[in-house]
Amino acid sequence: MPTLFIEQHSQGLAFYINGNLQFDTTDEAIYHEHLVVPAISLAEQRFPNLPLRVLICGGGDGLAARDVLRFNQVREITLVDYDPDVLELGRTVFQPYNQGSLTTADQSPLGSDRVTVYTQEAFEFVSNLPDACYHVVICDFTCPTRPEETQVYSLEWLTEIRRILAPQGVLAKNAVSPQQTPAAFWCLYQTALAAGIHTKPMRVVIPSFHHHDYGDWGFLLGSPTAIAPEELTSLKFPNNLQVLQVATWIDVFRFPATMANDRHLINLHTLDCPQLFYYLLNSHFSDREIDATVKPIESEDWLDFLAIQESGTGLIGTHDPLEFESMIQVWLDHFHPSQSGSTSVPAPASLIPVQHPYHDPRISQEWLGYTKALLSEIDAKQLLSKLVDRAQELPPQLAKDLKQLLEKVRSGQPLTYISEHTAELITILSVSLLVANLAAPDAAFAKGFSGSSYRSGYSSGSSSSGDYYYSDGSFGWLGFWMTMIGGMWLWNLYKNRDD
Amino acid sequence: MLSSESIQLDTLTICELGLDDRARWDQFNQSLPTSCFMQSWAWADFKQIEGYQTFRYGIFQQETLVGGGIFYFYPRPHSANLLIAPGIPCFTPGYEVIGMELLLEQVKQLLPTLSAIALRVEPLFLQKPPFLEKFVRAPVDLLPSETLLIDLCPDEAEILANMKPKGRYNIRLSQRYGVETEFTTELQNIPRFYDLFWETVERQQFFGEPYGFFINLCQTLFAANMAEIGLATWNDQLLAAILVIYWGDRATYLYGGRSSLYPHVMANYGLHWAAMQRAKSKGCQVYDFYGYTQNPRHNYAKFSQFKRQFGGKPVTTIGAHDYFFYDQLTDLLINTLRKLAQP
Repeated sequence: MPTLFIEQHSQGLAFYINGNLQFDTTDEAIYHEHLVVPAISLAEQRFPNLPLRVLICGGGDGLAARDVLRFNQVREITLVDYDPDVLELGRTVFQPYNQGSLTTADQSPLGSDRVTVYTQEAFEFVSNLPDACYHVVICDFTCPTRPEETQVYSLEWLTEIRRILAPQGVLAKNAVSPQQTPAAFWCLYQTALAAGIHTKPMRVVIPSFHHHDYGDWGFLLGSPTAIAPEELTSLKFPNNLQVLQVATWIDVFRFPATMANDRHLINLHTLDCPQLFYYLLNSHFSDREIDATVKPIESEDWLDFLAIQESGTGLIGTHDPLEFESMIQVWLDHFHPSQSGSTSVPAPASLIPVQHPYHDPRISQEWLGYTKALLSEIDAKQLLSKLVDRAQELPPQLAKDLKQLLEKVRSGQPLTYISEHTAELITILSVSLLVANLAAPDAAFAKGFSGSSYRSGYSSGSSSSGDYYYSDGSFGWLGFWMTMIGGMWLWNLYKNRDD
Repeated sequence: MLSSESIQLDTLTICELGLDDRARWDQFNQSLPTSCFMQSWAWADFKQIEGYQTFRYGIFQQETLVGGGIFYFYPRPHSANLLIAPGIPCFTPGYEVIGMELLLEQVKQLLPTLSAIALRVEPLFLQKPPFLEKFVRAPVDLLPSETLLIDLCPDEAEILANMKPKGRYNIRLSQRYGVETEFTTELQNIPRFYDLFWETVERQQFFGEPYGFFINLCQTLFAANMAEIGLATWNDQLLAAILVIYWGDRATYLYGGRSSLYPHVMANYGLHWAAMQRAKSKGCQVYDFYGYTQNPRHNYAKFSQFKRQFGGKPVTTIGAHDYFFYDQLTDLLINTLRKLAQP
């Protein structure tokens, strides 16, 4: 179960799950009113005089439920949250802030028989619901900190949400920061569009989130039926809101073009080919290989999604970039640029993406400089022997090359050539060692070391010992680099033996 | 002390430790001269909250605990992983050779499910012992292998006398200014600590762990009475904060931060001196500054200059060492080649 922490301060409290701020009572109204009020108001407008049924997924703190209860037309609220500890806080410590939304009428002023709470996984709960059974679904989940927590952001999840919504029903979804993790934000947007939900992205400034460097925060407002701009400009809000104002709230649909223009390049997040966690950890567009032919965006350009009605790109990735084989493939693509069409120098984030929320691209960059040192740990003779013992499982040419290499190593003949296949194998070995070290969060911090820079890693890999090996000239720069490193590694085998 | 030759393998048993073994394991580990807090039960609990799997083994001769280790594994959906064990080996003297053999055999039984290609250990030894012969030096460490230790055994006057004149002077200066210090396990001080920590991370441009890490760490270690936050205030303004871990005879200054305001009151000096006094009062014999360098071009050079003013003895341990599982590494390479060959 996640860890919970309540920070008391002079103006109220701040609540953290796994160390991530969920809300601060000083400004939580900005978050919850934007998440809840437009969605329910739109539903009221679309279903006049009809008793509304609302499903809240997550939201165990009771704050979203509080704002849903503002609407008299809502007759039934179902809240499903898997964490009983958060729900208990919602009924006790948070009661002064949620006005008792999770309690019954006899327990608090806002307590209501309209709310039914289930302690259950939302995906499982929703899967068992009939079609078109809710007018509004509000997703108020925590921002994922582990890959398994991204399921409730997937295409499969949103397809289920679309199924349980009435055709004119409304989805309101807490997203991620379009400012700090733009690729992740637009991934959620594209995923919602792909699920058949016409979606409007929203961008909101929440001071406590900014204080934690989360940046502007994002929400999605959607419906299986397209949302016309005039529907949103004519919404009527309940009285006594703290933040939302009819006259100004639609500014939330305006995004700087620099934040949104690359949204068409982003893959969907699916259970079969997850992308969201990769985007969250490696989100900035600047980390990708930039196409220099694209016209630079003027900084004053803005996009207004109130008017934009677009269908999704439906781009589904071919692989999960955080999978080991995907990382290997990126390296091999740059190893053989003529075959893959990849001619640019890759960003470090694409060679070794960030794998853990505690890490950042600087760590990956630094680790690239350790490649040679990691290889030098390996007993090449022992590894070659193991591989040759299983030669029948290797590609025939590689098996042949390795046998020859092992014979040379054993007999002490000079190494004058590394085949392309061997260099590829050394590349795979290098990436394996890098990934293994970066997979263990504590190992990645490299305590106590002065740290080599990305640049020094490259220069150390190509600075000396060039007489001992050569490539056949068909590799890209990465192939050349790996051949050099691999050659040095094998040469050291001789050197160490002589020592 | 037993000689390693006199211990028969069949007289020892190794088994996974359960919660009932917690006190015995902690007591055993703290009694070792190279004991490390990362081998404590509470630290392993903290790491579990952080997403690690932990494997806690004890080696027994009859009913007596003579060795063991806590191993950490961060599960990933691929086969390129490390098993790490900072602070091991942990053995009663004489049991190292046979104990290490047993531990490695036990760890190898985990490999089919864990997919680790290597085990990384980091003992607090000053020289590499023969029983780690098959381990090779890792390019990076899990702990700062170079550190600065202050001997807390002498009386306070002598500890002060052993400091550099500037250190003594600055401590007294902080006292003259009236810098106040306190040590606490009150969780509401985590944000106070973290604000200063993060301010320092940004100023010094280090990698810093996020807030959630400290919430988990403090919630776990405070409950085990293993750590405290130290705070230094002047005129009601928080100027310095540190996190100290107590384990065995050692107090370790694990994290810290200071405000850039009012440097002339030397709050940081006053706080570390108070931390040393407190550690001594708790029975600690060593104050570990946890990271130090004598290399002026090292990332640690700047704060090592600060630490040096407290005197002490620089100590360099052998650093992290890796034991490679070549069968697993071969599996990984062959399976990867096979997957890449698939259309």
